[in-house]
Amino acid sequence: MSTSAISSPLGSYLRPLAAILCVDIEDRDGPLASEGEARDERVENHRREILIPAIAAHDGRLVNTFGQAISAIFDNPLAAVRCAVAIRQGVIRRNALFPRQPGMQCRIGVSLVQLFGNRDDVAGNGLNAAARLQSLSEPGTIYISAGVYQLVKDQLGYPFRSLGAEKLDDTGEPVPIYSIVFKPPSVARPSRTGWIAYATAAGVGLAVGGAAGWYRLDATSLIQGDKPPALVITAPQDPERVATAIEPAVAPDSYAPTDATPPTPPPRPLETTASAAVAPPESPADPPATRPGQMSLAAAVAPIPTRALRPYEPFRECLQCPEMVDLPGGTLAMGSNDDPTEKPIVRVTVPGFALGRLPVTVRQWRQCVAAKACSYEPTGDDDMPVHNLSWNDAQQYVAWLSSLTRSKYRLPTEAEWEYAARGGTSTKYWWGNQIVAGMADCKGCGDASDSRQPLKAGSFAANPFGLQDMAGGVTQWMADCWHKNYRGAPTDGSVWDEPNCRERVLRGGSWKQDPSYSRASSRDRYDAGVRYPTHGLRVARSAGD
Amino acid sequence: MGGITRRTLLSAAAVMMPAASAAQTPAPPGAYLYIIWPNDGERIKGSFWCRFGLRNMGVTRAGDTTSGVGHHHLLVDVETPLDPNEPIPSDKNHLHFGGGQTEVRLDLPPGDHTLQLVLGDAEHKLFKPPVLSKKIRITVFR
Repeated sequence: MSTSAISSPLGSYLRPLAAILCVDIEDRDGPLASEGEARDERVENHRREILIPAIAAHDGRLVNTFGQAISAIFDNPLAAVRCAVAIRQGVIRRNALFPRQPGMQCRIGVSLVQLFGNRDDVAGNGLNAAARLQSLSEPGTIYISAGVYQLVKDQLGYPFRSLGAEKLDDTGEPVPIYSIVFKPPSVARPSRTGWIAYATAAGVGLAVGGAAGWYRLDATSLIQGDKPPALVITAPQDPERVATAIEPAVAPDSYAPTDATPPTPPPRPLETTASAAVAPPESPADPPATRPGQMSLAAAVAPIPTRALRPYEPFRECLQCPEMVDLPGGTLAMGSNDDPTEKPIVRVTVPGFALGRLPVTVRQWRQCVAAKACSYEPTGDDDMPVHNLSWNDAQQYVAWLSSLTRSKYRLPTEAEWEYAARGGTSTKYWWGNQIVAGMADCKGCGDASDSRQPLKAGSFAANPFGLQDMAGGVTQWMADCWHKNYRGAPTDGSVWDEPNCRERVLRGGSWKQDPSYSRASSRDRYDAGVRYPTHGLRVARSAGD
Repeated sequence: MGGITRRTLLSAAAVMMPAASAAQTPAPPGAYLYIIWPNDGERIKGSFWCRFGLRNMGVTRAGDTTSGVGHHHLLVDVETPLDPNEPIPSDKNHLHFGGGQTEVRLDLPPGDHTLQLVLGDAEHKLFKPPVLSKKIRITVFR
């Protein structure tokens, strides 16, 4: 659909900013890779666990289905595209979590749509255009129409690639279409040599569609919003530069377009050994968290062999260790104007680090107690986040994890935590500015909450970085000493400590607090030596540690 | 007693689970909690020290289960009654002094505020009967 629809004579009935997303989930290895009930069930699981929550989280409304494709309408095109990115990341992440199942992939199209009177009465052309874009799209990609491109290009934080023009609707007029450029998710990066090979592979993947050459966002021209599509050609002879350009850190809205510096390069691989090559799948006892083929090496306290990390992919360093997510560094606007303790807003650049995918659970904590390294005896079900911890208790746990591995586990800093909780967003919650039922475990966040105890860890959808329970549940202890506001706060993501610190910072809000405490920027504090029932932890690990 | 039992049953029914809380800690006879300063009705410029007083009981740190001792909590502008079966909330209006502190520097926004002290047991729960100070009203101005 072209942007000329915006000036249509339909007048006030027209809602030109509505966008429609069409998504289809299919087998990654072709339709014959799996069949029957197991496949249908997997598709249904993707719908239930990824598509529906992502659409709800971005304020979308389901409108129709074509076969197994799903369409949803969004008042805000940026939300529609963000939703598409979240769905794509969710599918990739789910593949990584269930390595023994046939992989799935999504194809997504986003176009503008005209709405009349009734907001769910969708004009056929818009629906058809999104479905057509979806069917044109390469597996694992997101195609958007020119109208959507014009509205989101300065705000998304990902580069785009022009794909020429295609007929999208009944008018028969070819419309320019674009795809969002992601790095290929399935290529490991063990070395600089590997990088070049990977960039070449990316070149093959991206050459599909007829347009030749490399494109990347030109940050300078993005500052002037009225310039024509901000695409420049980068020579394919410089593969490393290209590889960097096509993989930006997901940056907060307010900074992404004005950053003249190139996006943060991906984190360096961990120390790599000859055995680090990805082993063939065997029978992992705990598929979501453990690399296949490594179980036999993982004795009771033996660290799991190191390997190259991929951003946003969960990993685990020892059998007792919590699952960690490797996060590339980035910049955020830390704080808000919602509370005096969150002012002034500070621009902070956080280096790459790893953060627990979930809060530490009762089961994980009990292993520390059994090893006589943690003194607090937890209560509650094994899958519940451990709670009623003092900061000193939390320190015992991270010291124990460090003793099990060769890594330095620690509590996250406030800046790291907020960077991770925002997941590239700048809204109050990662899903928007309003509390949405079914997104967090807090008082007034939906019916699921229980006043006496937290819900099971991992009960809610992951944020764009793949982290769960960053809003509500147990409030999480930070490394930092409490400061009553951000005046003088470090801007490099490091810990803000004080000698003889009595009160430490807590983040994330609890299941007993109202939604305002679950905001990404909300800060709380407590005596470091005192236990309180809603306080728990999530562990962090520096990139080089 | 009857009122508390009935409320317990109602709240238990609401969350579909039994009230698992341990029995409340008994308060010693004559326990008296009060705010030393400010006085009720005080008009205060800027931030100020609020000081806590306790008679016939001792102040200790949270987690100490010795009988006859507890720790302070200061309720700022709190209207909601406390649930005797739940820990005293911890948020911007329910300030905890689990280290055994007996004073706090408050920096409240200009306007009228209420202050009330509540003594908590080892698990931050109310004693039985509750040990509460009089709720005072103050006005803060710049």
